[in-house]
Amino acid sequence: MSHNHTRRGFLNQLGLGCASVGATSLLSGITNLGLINAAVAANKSVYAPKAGNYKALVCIMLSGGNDSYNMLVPKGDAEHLEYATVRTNLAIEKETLRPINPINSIGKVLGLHPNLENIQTLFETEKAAFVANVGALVEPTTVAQFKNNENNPVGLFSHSDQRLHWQTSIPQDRNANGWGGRLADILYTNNMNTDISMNISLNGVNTFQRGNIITEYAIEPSGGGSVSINGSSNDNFYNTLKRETLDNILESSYQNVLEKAYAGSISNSKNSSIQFAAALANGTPFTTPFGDDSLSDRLEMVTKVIAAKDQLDMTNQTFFVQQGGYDNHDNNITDHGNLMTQLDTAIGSFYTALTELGMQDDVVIFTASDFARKLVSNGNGSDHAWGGHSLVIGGGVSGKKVYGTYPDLYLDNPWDSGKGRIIPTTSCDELFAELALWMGASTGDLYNVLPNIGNFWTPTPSEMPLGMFTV
Amino acid sequence: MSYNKYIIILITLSTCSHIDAQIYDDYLGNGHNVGLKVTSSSHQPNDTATHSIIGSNIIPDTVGASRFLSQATLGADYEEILDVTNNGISTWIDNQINESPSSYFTLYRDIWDTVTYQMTLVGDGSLADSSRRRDYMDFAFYQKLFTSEDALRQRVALALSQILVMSMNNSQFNKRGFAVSSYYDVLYLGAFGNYRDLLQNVTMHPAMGVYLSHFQNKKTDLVKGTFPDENYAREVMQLFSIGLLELNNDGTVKKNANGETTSTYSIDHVQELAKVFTGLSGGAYDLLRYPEKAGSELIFGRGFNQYDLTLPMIMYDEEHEPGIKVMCTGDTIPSGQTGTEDINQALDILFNHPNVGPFIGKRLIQHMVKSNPTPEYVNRVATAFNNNGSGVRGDMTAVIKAIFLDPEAIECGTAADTTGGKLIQPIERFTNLFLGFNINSDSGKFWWRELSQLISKVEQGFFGSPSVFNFFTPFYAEDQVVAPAELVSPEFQILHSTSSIHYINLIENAIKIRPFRNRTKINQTTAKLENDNDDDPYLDLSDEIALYNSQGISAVLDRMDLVLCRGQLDSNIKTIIADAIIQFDANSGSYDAEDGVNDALYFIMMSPNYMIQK
Repeated sequence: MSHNHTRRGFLNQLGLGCASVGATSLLSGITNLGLINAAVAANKSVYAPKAGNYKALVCIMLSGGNDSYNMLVPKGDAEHLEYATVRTNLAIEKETLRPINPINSIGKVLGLHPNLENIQTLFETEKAAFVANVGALVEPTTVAQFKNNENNPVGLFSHSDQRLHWQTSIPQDRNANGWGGRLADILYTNNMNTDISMNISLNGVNTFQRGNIITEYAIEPSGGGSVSINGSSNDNFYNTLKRETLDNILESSYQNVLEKAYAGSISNSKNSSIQFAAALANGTPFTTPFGDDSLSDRLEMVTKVIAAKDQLDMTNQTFFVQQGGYDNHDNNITDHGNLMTQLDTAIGSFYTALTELGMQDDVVIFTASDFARKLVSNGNGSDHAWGGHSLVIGGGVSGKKVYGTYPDLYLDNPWDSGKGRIIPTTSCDELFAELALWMGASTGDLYNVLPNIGNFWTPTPSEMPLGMFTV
Repeated sequence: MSYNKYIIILITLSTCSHIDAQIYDDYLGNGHNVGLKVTSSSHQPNDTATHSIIGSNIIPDTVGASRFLSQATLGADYEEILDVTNNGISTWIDNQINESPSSYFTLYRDIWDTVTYQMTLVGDGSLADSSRRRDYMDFAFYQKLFTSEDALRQRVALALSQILVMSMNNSQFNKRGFAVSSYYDVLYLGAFGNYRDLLQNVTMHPAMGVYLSHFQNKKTDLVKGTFPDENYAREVMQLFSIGLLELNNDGTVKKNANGETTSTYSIDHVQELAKVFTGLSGGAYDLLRYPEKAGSELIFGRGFNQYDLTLPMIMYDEEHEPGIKVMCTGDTIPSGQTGTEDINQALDILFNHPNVGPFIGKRLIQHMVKSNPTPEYVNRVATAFNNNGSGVRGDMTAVIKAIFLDPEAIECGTAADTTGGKLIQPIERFTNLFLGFNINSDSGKFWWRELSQLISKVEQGFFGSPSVFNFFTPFYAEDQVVAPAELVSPEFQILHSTSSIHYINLIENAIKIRPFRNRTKINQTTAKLENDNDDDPYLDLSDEIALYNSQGISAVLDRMDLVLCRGQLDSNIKTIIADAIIQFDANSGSYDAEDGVNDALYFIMMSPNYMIQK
């Protein structure tokens, strides 16, 4: 593994590990900058797509804080005992966990939440991987550093902030825009279509997809995805003049900042919708059935958009999809179990549909969430924590692996910031760098997309932060 | 608008936000200038140098009255504007504060009783749907909005419901209208009371208890390895009282010499406060649903649906965390107190934190007046929060008066401020239309659920927030124009490529087809409520149609400009709309006055001049 932020990485840093640290070790800021500049000069895209190769990144935001220590769970006797001891009444019984057999060595026997049937299959067939204990960090952080508040993310343990951190990957700045937006700022010129954003949201306005140039185009999970003004496809006298009148009103000049902002946003929305709906209607049909919950509806619509990539003239796209309900302070076992079922069903259908379209290697799906939940119980649920586990599926990921470090779970272990709020041992930046490079960003681009990346990994053209994708 | 009736006093101020105008306890004209009417000088754009003081009892012109009513109500018609023009703003506010409110819960219960009774008349009554529906919460909202006179209280209560947020958009509350309407009573009946009481009653209400999970929150159990739930402890600080960062009284973030900010609390303080909110559970059993529980012993740990969720929670001290608790202020809650004493003391400490005035004051300004108040405006409102003039902290009446009587709210010059205003929320756009043009129905009922059904389209409904963080965050800034100007535009967070177009289509339907459907009919087979096509509500546009016939479209647009755009419709937009309607009329023999009026309303209600309340 080439990422440097495992426990071993820290031991190396402290001079306690083995001597060979190589290009992945933590270097001083100055040295790092030198290496990054070299990489910028090389400006090589490691996974540079062949011209015209479609690639899409799908972010599934598990909103509210996924209790991911009950998604990817210790299953070996000793580690399950450790898990059950700390989780008490939130622990899932060992026998009901779904077995997985990672091909890399992670030092623990792990299993999956009982409801993750499709994800188990995807994992075991090497289509899916996990990144363990990943979370927002400004720099590698120890418990002592956390307690001294040396360089902690702002607003740790609050929904509003940590949810934002996963979207900005600049957790020291509340005003940052999104890394999906900054990625699109670099890649959008690959798309011939200049009317419709590279970033498509199934959940309205979001930070992830907001860049300096590019921002999201919101669609809805029903009908043709986009919404048009009543009568906009009717060319009779009335509707033609109605459209002209709306245009004239919106294109007038406004002095007030908010009026200007409103007029601009309606203009953009209005003008893209007809084109979008027409493209979608002519996309490649598929027959894979989807469930009827809100996440399935959304992933079905994402599939329709991907199936219309040629009609939309898109080479790169990102999608933002949200599944709500994860803030399980109460009734955790039942509610989280139901969410796991929905997630599993929706992802199962989505991957099958992508396979039907022959595009399963062109689309990467990853899960994000505000945070994982505390290991200790609050009675019936659990509260806000920090590092958690993410799923990465598709895109030719080197699957059946758990990347990063699965931490020990006993209380007050070296990564426990208190009551089982585990400090991330892998930074979001490392995961996102991997995804951005897969999408076609160059190593030099990473410094714009993920400004903190140098604190965790030195962008080099030959090595990947986590090594999830085969070059 | 007849300027010549008034004595116009022009006073030159250096800037729009100059506050010298407010140094008097009583405004110019109050009491010692009986009969003096002071009006705004001008509402021309870019006229920032010269404008009048409009003292209090502030008698505005019609434009000033309309602007005031757009801030202080969820919609007002022409007659209301004339009333404020004749009687003045302070008088209107005083009258509103003196209106005695009637309970939402009672109204909800009446609707529920009525529907349940009607259902039992179908067949043998066995089909009756007795669940306590979410829909009826909407019914109650509109019924009260269109039939009671307390417009200011309803405005403030709706704003409070977006600060002290709980939501029916949650599987546990989907059908629990009894609990939610009673929670809304806390905000609605308490809107003109003291914020300390609001904090208390919100904390103790079981709807909030279940929503933020301090209902049946238990003390630490080291044997079971469980610790108190931190949910409410965190959000009561982050969202309901002090916020994340230490603030100055003007709402700006405190910074030290190095430009560093200070967090108001740490994770340890959340854990400590979580201990305070342990031991609460239901105050009585729900005897309507479980009559057999009458007289049985009240215990802590039953399923939450077995309790009467309209009564405050009570403390079960055996489940309350003993020992001292350290608050974020450094204050200590001593050991040995009862749970109730702990909670009261903790809420006292939070309530007395200097952040509360600027934090809550700014939120209220943003919900009702403008997204980007100046620090001076926030400071004035926070000062009123801190002390109502009689030494009382948290007096909401003083806060509300400070918000609406502030120069930044009422001075005409500030309407032309290019950074002023706020985007009108989706729910308010519909209420503006309905209240602006005298909505009515044959049955006198306004049993609508359409807006809640349309949450996915316009991203807003009554008590339909996706989480305790409301429909949008107060920190959101639209990216193309607003963020670069270093301003915020909270409501823009729910304005995007689908919600914005859906709104334009929905308001067109509301104008041209029917406002909303009235769900006032019992299906004789299923015994369920359904839309009654014979009871569609209707708007009263007779004045506008008469104007169209007598004076033409221009007069209609002037009238709508006054009612909906606060007299701020740009002359070129008026020309664009008038030209279109003249062409529609000329092109089609069947185009009539009603069509012209409808189209005028439609174009106005999608125009930036309407959508930004400024």
